[in-house]
Amino acid sequence: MGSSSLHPAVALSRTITVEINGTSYQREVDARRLLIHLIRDDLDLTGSHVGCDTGNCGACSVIFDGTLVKSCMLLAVQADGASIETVEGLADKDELNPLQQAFSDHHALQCGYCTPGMLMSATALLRENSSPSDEEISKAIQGNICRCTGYWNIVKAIKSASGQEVGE
Amino acid sequence: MTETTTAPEPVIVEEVETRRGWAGQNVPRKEDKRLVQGEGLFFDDVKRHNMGYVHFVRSPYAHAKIRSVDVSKALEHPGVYGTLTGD
Repeated sequence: MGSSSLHPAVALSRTITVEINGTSYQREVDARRLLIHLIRDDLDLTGSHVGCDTGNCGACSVIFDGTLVKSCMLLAVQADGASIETVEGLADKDELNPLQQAFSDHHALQCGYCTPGMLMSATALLRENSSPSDEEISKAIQGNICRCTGYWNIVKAIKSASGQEVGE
Repeated sequence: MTETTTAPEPVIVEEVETRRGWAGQNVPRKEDKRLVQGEGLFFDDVKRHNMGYVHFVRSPYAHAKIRSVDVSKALEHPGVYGTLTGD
């Protein structure tokens, strides 16, 4: 294998406009930049997390034009013109919305790393199904991996946030 | 002949009010609030001025002897703080 010269980085970039949690941002981004990195590193919204690099863990989950997506599986340029919601947008500055409060009340988090992703999945679910069963909740968070809690408290928290009774 | 003895006087312990302790109680955590807000500080969330980023250069060969590592091109590249080799 002979030596090869370093190829200069071909910088294809585009200026995009994205609305996140109601605020509009205009940025020039590399064409290959992932949406999660735009959100976390360029816009300082570090609530969404990178957990796997393979699209499995869901810690990067955000709501994109009303649909739950894994932001590590999208390019930033694909978000041009889109309206995105992240965990930071769930409640006003120092408040917690009922879903977030339920997570705290039901001990549905320990390290908190998967939590933003869980909250976004739960938010998307409850918009579509305001009174989900345990099974429907479990199915809705299938794309979110948690290493700490064992999931059951998360299911209870989401059920409780929907106004339903939760057992033990 | 066995001696009969009377049973000793029972010792009466006065019952005092027990204080409601923490055992068995559901104690809310202090860190939950910022974690559900997405305001937790995990290591990758830390940003510092002039932050450097480590990039690992791995061997292109599965099984080989490293004779030398030539870092000269990397050091010429603008923005490289430095290199670290096994030497």
